[in-house]
Amino acid sequence: MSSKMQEYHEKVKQFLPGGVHYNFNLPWEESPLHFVKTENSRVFDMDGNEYLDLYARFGAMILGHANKDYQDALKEAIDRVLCVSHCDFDYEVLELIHRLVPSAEMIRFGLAGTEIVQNALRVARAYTGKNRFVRFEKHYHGNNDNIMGGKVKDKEYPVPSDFAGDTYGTSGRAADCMESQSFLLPWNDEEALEKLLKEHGDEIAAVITEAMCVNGGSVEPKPGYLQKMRSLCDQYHVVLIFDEIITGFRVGLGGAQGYYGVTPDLTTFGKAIAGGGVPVSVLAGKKEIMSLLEAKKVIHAGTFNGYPLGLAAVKATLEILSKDNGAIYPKMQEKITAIQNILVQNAAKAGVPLIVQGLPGCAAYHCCEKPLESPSEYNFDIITKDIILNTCMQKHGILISSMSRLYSNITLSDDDVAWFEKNSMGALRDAAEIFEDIC
Amino acid sequence: MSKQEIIDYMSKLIAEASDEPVDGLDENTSFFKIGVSSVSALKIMNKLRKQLQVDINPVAMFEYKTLGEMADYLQECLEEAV
Repeated sequence: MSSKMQEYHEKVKQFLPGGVHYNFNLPWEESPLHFVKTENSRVFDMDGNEYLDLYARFGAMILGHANKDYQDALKEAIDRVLCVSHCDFDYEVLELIHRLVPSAEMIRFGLAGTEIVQNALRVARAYTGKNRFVRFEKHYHGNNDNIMGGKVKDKEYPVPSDFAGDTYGTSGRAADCMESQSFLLPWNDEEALEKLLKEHGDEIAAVITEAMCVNGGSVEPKPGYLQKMRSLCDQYHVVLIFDEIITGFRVGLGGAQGYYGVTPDLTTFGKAIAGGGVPVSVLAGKKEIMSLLEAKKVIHAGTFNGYPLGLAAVKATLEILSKDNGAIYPKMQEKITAIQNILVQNAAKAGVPLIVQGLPGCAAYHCCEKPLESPSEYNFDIITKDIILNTCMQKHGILISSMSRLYSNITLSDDDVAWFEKNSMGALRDAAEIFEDIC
Repeated sequence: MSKQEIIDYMSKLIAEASDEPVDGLDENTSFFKIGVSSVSALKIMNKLRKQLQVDINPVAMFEYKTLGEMADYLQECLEEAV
């Protein structure tokens, strides 16, 4: 980092812990880039360096930076109905989501993914009268105490608990909240889920899963796995929740549930659903379950739920993405696939073992020989190399999301593909040198 | 591998990755004061993992803040791996 940006970072750090807006338990100090300008797929830092932005604000930025139609819609809402609780385009937004998402019979809005996941669990508990939920290794569902990190000590009774050195481990976690509320299982493992539900189905209110495990390395479900999950949940009266906060509107208009053809009972959305400029999270689901909110048996509160600026952002985003029946998706996927192919080809030239896996839009590279079949295989050896390559890419003008995700946006162009082709080779050569040093 | 042998090996790796001389490092040295980059930190942990042949979480570097504490943790990992 240059002295100008480093100096600015040091000033920020005086008041902002760590100089960053968010942190996990990672073993080094972070020095974020501070940006001054953005346009389409490019961002420019304080020193005038230009980057291709495949980081895309953790995947939220799907429309490209400074998208005029999107920004005009936000400005219109700001000028007209900024500070009211309900406005005159609520219905249009609801109808859009209902039309596009298979599970969205009814819909509520929140702000953050973390909060909407907790609302989903609350509704599921109320609906089933049961307390526990099941989640899966390496999946991420927000930073609430009861659902982040942990490891199973006894596979016969697979409840998660804290362990030293957990990247998602945190001091200050409420005592016993993971152990008393949840089970933690390996993913893509039908037998493990079937065994648990058979033995403890009477305690389990919900199974929550990423439909494609982006957080665990962009691992796709094995054929039939989600269908089996669906049927087991039906059998044991368990609410199936898809966390589509990353995959929603990124892998297609119907989300991962549309792509894989499995409809959950409840779905959570966030990130890309509002285009990346403002926060909106969504809880969508079956009328039978969501009606608990209508009956006021379940509380869902929040000052800014359904705020007009957020709904204007959702409306603009979904109108842009769904125009001509989603014709923009194949174009976007063509560009990101070209980038992915170049990455694989250049890695081979640089002598870096590398694969890309996952659906285009939220795929990830991994510095290894074979695609991961389970998130549990995403081990430290691979993560280390992925992070090193990520760091090298940044030095060569390419921003990649954590740990190694390649997020697309609809303004990706041939120029962006050429930029990637030109700059990725140097990054890969640098990474190869570091790998040589490590091994 | 004894605790002192682990400390000596870590000291060598840290000295290579930073401006600290090996002589300036001992079991009370705090990782926070060394100022290694993310890539250097990962290099150190990866080399430790390979040398000791145990699965070490990189976050251990922040959980155990001195060379001595880290050496104790690594010895535990070694015992668990047996």
